[in-house]
Amino acid sequence: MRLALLIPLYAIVAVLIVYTVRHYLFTLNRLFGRHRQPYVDIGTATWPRVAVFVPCHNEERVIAQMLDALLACDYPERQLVIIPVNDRSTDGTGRILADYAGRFPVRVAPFHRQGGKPGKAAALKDAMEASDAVIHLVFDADYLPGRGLIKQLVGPFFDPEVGAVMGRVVPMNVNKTLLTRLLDLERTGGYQVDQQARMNLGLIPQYGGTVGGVRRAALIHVGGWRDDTLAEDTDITFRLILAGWEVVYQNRSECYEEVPESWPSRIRQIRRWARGHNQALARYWWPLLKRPAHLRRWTVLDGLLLLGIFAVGPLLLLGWVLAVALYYMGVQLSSGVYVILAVAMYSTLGNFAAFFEVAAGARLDGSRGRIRLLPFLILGFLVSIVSVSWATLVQMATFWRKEQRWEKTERYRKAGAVMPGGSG
Amino acid sequence: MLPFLALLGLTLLWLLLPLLPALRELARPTDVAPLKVVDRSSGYVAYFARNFRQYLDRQMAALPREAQAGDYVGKLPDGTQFVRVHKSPQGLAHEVEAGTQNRLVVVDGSMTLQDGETFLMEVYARAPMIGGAGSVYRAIYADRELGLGERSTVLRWAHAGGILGVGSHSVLRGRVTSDQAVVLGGNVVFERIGAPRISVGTEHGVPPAAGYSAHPFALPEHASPIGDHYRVEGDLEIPAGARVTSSLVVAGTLIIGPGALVEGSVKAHRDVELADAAQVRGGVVARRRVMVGASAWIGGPVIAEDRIRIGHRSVVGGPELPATVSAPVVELSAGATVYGQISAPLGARTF
Repeated sequence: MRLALLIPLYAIVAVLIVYTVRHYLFTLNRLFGRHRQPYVDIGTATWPRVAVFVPCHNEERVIAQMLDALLACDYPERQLVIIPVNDRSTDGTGRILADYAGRFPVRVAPFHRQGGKPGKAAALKDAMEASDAVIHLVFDADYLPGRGLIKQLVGPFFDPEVGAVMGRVVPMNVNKTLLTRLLDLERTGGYQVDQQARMNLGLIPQYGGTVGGVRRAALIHVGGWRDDTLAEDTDITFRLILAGWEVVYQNRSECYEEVPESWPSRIRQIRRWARGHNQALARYWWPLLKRPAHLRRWTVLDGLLLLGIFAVGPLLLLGWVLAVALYYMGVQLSSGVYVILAVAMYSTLGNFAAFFEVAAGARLDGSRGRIRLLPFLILGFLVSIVSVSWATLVQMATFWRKEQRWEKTERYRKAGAVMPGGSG
Repeated sequence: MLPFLALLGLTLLWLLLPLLPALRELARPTDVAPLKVVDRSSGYVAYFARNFRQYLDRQMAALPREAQAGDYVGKLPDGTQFVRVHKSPQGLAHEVEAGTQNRLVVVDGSMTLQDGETFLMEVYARAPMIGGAGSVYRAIYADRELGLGERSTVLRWAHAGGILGVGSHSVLRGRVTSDQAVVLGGNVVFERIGAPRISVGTEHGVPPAAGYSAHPFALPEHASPIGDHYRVEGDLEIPAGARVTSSLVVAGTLIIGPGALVEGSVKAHRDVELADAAQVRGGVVARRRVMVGASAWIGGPVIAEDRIRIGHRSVVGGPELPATVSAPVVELSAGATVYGQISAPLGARTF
């Protein structure tokens, strides 16, 4: 019995150590390694035809500002079509889109969905047929792209191997609540360190489903968007990688977003992410482990760790339960100075790997004051661990259900809000 | 009970101690502005030049009538010292020691400046201007043609509405742009240039295609189709005069033989080498180096993560095909032409 508990506990510790090492490698790479951004200076080119898809389900509060920002982009007008995907909206979204389509009949071409599966993936799948543009970019309706962002995101596609491009997401409602400030720090670590380190090291930057896009030929090659997933971004990332395409991250292609301002909204969001990511884990861990000839071993390892990121929370909880159970069963794992040193080392280095990453990201961004909030991140992590674990357990308990429930993230912005910097 | 409560209180205080900066930031936020997103107009090569021009227009419009024309020494409305010369550069010598101008200079008439001058503030040329040899400029904005003498140095940026000629052995830091063309002399060092046409010496235009084969080149059997391109493991050499009809990704080094043609784009995980008169209609990307021979042509962007060398009379882009050449280090041979933009953060050099 004791052995049956000890073996999984040691396995969990091993997994956590691997993730800890990964955090440190990425952070040290960002602090001291070569910053790789080969496509960022492509400013002059014969720009290809681009379709910008904006999935929107009841987005009357934000969609007009998003369309204004896209219409103000400096991409050649003849080469750009904006396709807002009106996904069964019941508010004023349809009316706003009709207004824009009337005023910009060539540049704005709404795609209306009246039925079908709910969710962004299904909406994108249906709308994909609406354009034969070479590049399909995707933005969420609450995002505010800057003038030059479209060109920046299209630049990497001049590399014939690039199947998808991801830009950086920057929260704009940072000052609202403690949660928005914590999410701002999390995003800093995730993009400035994690994603860019993967780009630097030639690993797998993740296409994040917004502020990015895919090459239409690549999308068709891997079978288009899947409508049976809650994380179409992770899903397409791994299908592209497995099929021989490259995913590129551009740290300087930044775009403002609105992050959840309330904990319930955040919990719903992270549960959806967890379920979607776990779907991708179940689908792609084995094809990845088989290592297609074009993938390096390190790339495969990074891919597996990326796929398993939302499984860490439940594993950690299970580890705590096992440790407590073994303690009350009177199990003394070992004794002596080595154990004390190991525990002390993990307490100082292991537990704080993620904090180190966020702090390094904030430093690279030149942020000063917000870094002081770092200790409160533990609050966000605990909420995430519990939410993700709960979502995973529910998912495992209902694995036979094919229909996935889509939960839309709440919007907070008031009409007429101004983009930070005043350019929007 | 009291000792217990005291101990508990002390423990809580001890726990709170490292949280004090966090609590203070929470109670009195000092850093809550959204991260300043890089405005991509700052990536536009003529960004600083356009900003300067707008600034100057505002300042000039606010000057008194007597300061609007002719030679003049005075201050702009914001207090910046400036001098305007109308017919000859002699006016620049006014109140100046050792050829160093520490004021904004406006050149109103067509003129050639003296050698060896140093301009610590911007120069604005409203008429064609030729700078003297060995001069140093902080920044120059020229409405029309601008010529920089040999061994000139530009510290921040330069822009010309007409053709911008750069004398040999000059050093151009920052951004250099023209609305028409930039013509570089030999041994010029620069970082970033943008213009409809950038050439080293005389422009030779897009070289005609060599007599490549009418039949498509058969890729190796292990080449695998991936969407709209083929992937080849290891190195690949396309023989002289061959024609490849698709885009290519090569896991090793790609060599495109003399006179060969690739109708799509190419990428190599190591180097790409274009022999003399080879042509690629799309872009060229390499994780290490792109080496282009003489009289070759590339229709799209050229991107390398280490170095790019463009050979004698080779061309990137075309009058109707703007393109970018970008790598940490770029080398341009005599007669090379790029239609669009060159970016080399670690430095570009002409030969």
